[in-house]
Amino acid sequence: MNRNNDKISSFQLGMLISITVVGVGILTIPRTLTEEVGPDGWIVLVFTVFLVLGVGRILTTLAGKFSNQNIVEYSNSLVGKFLGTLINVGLCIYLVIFAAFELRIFGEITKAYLLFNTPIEILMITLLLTASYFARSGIESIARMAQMIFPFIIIFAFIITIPVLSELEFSNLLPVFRTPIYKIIQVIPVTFFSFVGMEMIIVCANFVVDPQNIKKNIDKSILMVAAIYMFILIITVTRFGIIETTHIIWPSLELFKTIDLPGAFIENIQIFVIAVWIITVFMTLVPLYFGASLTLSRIFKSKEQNYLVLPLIPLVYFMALIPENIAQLGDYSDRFAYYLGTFYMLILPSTLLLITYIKKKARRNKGV
Amino acid sequence: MSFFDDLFKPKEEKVKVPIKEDYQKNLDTIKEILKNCDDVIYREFQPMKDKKMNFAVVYAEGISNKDLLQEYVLKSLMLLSSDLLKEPRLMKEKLYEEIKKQSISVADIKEIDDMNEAIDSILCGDTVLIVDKWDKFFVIASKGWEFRSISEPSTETVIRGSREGFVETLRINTALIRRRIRDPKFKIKQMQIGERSKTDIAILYIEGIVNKDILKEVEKRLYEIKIDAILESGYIEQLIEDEWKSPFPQIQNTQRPDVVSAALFEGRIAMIIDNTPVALLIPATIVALLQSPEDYNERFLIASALRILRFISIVFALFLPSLYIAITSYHPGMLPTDLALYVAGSRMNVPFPAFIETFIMEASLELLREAGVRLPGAIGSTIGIVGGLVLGQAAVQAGIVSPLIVIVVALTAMAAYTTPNYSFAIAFRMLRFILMILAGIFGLYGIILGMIVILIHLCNLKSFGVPYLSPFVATETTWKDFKDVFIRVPLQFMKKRPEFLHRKNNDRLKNPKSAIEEDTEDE
Repeated sequence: MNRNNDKISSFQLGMLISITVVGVGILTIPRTLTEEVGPDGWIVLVFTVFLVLGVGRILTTLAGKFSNQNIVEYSNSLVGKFLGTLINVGLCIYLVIFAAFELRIFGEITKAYLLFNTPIEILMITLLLTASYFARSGIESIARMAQMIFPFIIIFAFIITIPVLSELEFSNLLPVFRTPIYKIIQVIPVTFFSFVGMEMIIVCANFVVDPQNIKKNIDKSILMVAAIYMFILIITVTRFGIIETTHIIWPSLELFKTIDLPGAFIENIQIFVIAVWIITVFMTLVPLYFGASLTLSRIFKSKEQNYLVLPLIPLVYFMALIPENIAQLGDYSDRFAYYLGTFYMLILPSTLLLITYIKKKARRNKGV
Repeated sequence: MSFFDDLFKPKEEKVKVPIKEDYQKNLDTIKEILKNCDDVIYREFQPMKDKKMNFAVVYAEGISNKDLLQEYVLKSLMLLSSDLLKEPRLMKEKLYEEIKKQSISVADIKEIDDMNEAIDSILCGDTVLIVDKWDKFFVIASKGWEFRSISEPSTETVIRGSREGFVETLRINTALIRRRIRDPKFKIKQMQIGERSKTDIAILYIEGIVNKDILKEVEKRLYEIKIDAILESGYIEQLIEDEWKSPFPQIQNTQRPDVVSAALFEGRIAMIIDNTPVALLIPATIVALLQSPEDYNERFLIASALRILRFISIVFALFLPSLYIAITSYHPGMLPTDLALYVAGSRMNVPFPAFIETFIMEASLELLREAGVRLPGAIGSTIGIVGGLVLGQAAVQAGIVSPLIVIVVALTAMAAYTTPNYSFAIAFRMLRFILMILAGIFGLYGIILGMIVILIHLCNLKSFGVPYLSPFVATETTWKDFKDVFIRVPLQFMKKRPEFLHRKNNDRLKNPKSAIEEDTEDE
């Protein structure tokens, strides 16, 4: 009957962030890292995790300062109406583009591995409609789903890799520490963008009922995502070797193509992996989509978010169709992550936080 | 709950019709109201011949206890005359006192002064005693009718456990539960719903364990019901549930008093409705619907194993036919080469695509099931043999379907029957067909899509404010509840009641006594 649909726990927020981040990063991280630094990818990843934890702190501190306000509301009050609206419209567009990329990647992979003859448009539109149905049901359901799905995915990922273990060649990780330190620092940003999606913290944080626990849970979820990345990176590199890993488009998926389960009823586990991955990417898409519609509703100062989901459907859909092929898609999404991603993940939150501190200080000075 | 009684008083207060002093007029009024109700019996008599005192009893035949009436009401009233005749002066004042205090040896008797109430009482099975020159009636509790004897419910059988099942009489059912809960905190609150049927409904809960917010919500929703008749608990269920569009039952139903008692001890609320052996349990979660009472009676290893089996069988019941469609028509590469060749070979002469083949077989299974339910027992099993064995065998031999699909269908049917709750299992039966259609269109991707939509729906669903998927999802950390989901930990480790209801008193095993004291302070 009356559904007060806006309360999640900080634990659920952590799960939501984890699943949003993991969705697409997991596909490419072995390739991008190995391309740049060869077998030393895991060192870069370790360094990146510290950076990401720092960014997580900035985002959670900012969210903690305004625990009952949405980003749209407090950015308006911090930087003024005009600049604020600009930032927020940008945020909305950013989320829409991000969602569109996810959708396109989903379409490409499903077509490549699962349904060879079905047009990609059909695949994309069915998933998009499902996602919009979900985005309409509100943050509570989305958080619940994330909470339920994420542990399941982790358990599944670990179980499914057990048959691979026998084929691993750990000498592929050698030689270590051959990359110079400046190169490692150069590569950190590349890895950093496997963590895009974290800006959902500032979009969703005001729904949390226990803001005091956000930091703890976000730290946990970042570490969890990092552990998954590390796991997949090491498994992939040791399975394929450096050269092969750099030449496969989606190494993490290719991993399961050749597994032979002894005496199993199912020969090709890869299809199941894709099936589970579809759920993951869906759960990445939905929070972004929800975030976009939420931001939009706050910009228009409307209380309800769910009808603003509908006008976004064609927007996301057509944007997803813009890249002409996978290469272009990768190119676009890299550039997108470099510019907009940096801005909304790092620059905007730290600037807003800085302004908050300055304003606070100014107020205190005035008070004295 | 007096606050709620005030708040939700029926708006159109019943008009009170006062009873007159005139005996004949009263009797005529009743006769007028109950005109053509030939099951109502009027028995007039005059115990004191010379004084012309008129008495009458009015009752409905079949639902009131005639023996009680004859033995303890009529007989003693007729003997009354001789004693009082000696003092005619006192008779008028003393008569009513005499009748009430000495003559009628029935446990429950009350005076009423409203004609409508009198009519209601008659139709409930009570007897109304009309006394001359008095503006009140006596109502003698004489409810009594034939009821089915207590037997084991056929839909929820257990190997180890109580053999008692509910019957159609409310009072017997509450007694079955009272026998299991001898606690003054166990409350049975009764009300009537249905403008015409005036069905008795009892809300059962244990004070101190129950979550009061949920109780209030239940009472509120019950008061909001405006309907002419409640014939079965299903009416109530559908009128008060959260989401009428959902295929999933949001209220658990059971015919077993031990299940109801266990639920009450967990802090849930039960509802018993007159004229039906099916009780309702609120709130329901997906885990509760997958539990069998036997889980707690067997040792934990066995119970846990059976529970895991049940979870797996739900997955089978839901996905097996659609997986068959998806694999045979879209992803034959999933199977090992030998198996793939065998499947292709067995389907070689089948003239239909896998989707049609599966659909035919699943639909005929549903037909069989429906026919089996409608037909009387002996013929039902014949139909099972004819339909299942003969048809299946013939279809395979005729080459219309492949032998593999018969195995798939049979497995699915068996898996579906392991679900303890019928309403819940039937939801999966329906969803299976939707998944089959999706698998026919999109293969495995269709199944995933369907699964996502089902999951979204389940995530949205709440039963009286409690998430349907508890404890998988919950705002507060309810990890402790997992001890009773896939496995059932040994009873000595279940010290707390399930957390998902968020009540104050959670001690089940450790220190129940102090918990009771806490409740008292809480009141």
